[in-house]
Amino acid sequence: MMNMSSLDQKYRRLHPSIIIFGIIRKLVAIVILSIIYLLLHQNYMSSLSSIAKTILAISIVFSLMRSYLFWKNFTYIFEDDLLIINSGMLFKSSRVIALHQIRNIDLRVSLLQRLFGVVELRMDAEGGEKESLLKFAAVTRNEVERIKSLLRYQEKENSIVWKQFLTPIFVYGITTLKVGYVSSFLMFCYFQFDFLDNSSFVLQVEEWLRTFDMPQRIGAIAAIFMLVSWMISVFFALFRFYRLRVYITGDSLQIKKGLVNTHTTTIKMKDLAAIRVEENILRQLFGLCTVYLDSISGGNEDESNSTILIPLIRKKILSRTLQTYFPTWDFTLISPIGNPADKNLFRSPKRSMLSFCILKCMLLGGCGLLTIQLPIPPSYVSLMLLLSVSISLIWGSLQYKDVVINTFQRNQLSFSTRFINKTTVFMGRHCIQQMVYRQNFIQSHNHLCTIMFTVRTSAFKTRYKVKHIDEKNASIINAWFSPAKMTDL
Amino acid sequence: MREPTQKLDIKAIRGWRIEAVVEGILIGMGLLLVEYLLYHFQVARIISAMVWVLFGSCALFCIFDLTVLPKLRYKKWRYEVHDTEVLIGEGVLFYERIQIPINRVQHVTLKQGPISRMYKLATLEITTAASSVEIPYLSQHIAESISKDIKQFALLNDEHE
Repeated sequence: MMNMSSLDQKYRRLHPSIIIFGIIRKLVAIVILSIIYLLLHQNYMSSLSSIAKTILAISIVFSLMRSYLFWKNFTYIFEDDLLIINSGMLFKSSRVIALHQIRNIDLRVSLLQRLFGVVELRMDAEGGEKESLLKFAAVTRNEVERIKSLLRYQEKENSIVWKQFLTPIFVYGITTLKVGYVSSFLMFCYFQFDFLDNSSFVLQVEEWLRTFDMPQRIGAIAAIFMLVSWMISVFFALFRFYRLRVYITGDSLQIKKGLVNTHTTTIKMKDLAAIRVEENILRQLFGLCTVYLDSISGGNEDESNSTILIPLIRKKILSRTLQTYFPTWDFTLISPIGNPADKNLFRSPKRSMLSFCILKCMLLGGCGLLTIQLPIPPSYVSLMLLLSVSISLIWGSLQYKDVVINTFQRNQLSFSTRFINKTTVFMGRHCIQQMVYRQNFIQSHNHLCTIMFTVRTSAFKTRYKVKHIDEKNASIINAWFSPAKMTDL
Repeated sequence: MREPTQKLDIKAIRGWRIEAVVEGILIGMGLLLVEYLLYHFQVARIISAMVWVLFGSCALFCIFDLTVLPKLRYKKWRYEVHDTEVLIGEGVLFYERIQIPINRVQHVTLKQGPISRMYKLATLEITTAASSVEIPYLSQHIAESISKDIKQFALLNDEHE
């Protein structure tokens, strides 16, 4: 075992630039707000009362004091295969983490950090809830290299295995279903913030919209909101994935991305728990998909607790591409039709169609029936009812069609399932912590069951669910998951 | 599919009944307090009526939880500890069968609340890196022996791996 006490004789602190980061961020927020107000032909500072200005000034002073105390009290040392972190202003705390428990390294560089030549280092440790994230908000490049070498994450020869070009990033922004969230947020801003409602620009637009008839007006409002939402989505996609590169360095996989804030994630291949392929309805129409990685103790809270490996790729070339990165994994499930391994795949039995459709028909049909309360003719109510039942039947049959499980590989489970998006998961057997078989009355009557796998990933455990599979197939999966007797080992 | 065979201690039924009484009293008191506050601040009658409906539903569920549910729960609850895996079967409306390979177990905790202490019972909590499951109301000596077995099996499995 390497003795590190000789390397680190004393506790280290973060880079002092962290003290002014908080204030600069606050000032930048004020400047951005002022610009927004200026664009809407108003003055931000004059709109604030003198009390509000005093509170703002006091908050800046307090934030300076807080940042200084945080910097002063945050110390760390690497000693004898342990990382010791002391922190806390009022309540002091000291954390001791074994170095082998640190799984992933994440480097984030914002524009501000770039100015000071520092980076934010995030490390994910095993176990715990939020405490599993170790965040060093400002450390120099040299210090990062030193920490990497202590954690045995030395950089070897880099070889780029994937480059994300600009056009797919635009397509990613346009085809994301989060456009709906953005539109809702814009609507919320429009109806809730008075300064938006009273600005001359917004009033002019409203005046222009009044020149249209009602149906045209509704269409124009929807088009404006959709256009702005798409623009925002494309901007966010560019912001996150610009210059995305995937490197393989020795036994690690490195993902670099970001337009203004650069983000570097390093995952050790042996810590890879699952590879997930997501196809939302829009992308599925164009044969496109997104690839996520789930790693032990890793994951990004803004990427559904996973790490995006490839934001957008054609499904046709996906299997081949993934096989080059992960040669020991089997990706036949991506295109199972006509594959020799097809006979080893389990699908949901036909009798499961009822289970897939019944609840959706009841819920959506109920919603369709509720339109009876609206002041519309009965023919429209029947149409809504017909539409809602048809949607639930199509949705149910799509879910039925997409359930495929493959236990052909001893150390890997592959399955695809759908809630709204189609999800294909390739999961390492060693990372499945428990399996749950669930049966309700209808399933019990039809000899079906739902299986759930809990996987060891980040602080937020990941649970995958495959609904309505045959009991016999569940038994095969049970046998696959059951460990061999110790005598057989 | 292999089903677990071991049953919980018969006193578990009494334990669940006491739990139901305590929960019922607490929820009832909470709802009555809400009802009093609604009356005091003269909030719309429809909300008050909704609280009474909720109170009635809770009372019905408590009676069900006190009489039928513990027996059904006891009938369905099964567990089994092998040298390679832990199996648990539970659930009345939704039956669940949990399978945990023994080498995934990180630690085992024995817990005793006031009800368990009264009947010399214990709850065994099995924790893995991503989840934890509980086997409630085991007799104390069985819980201790299972805990010891799991630790031993987990250690042996680790050596083999």
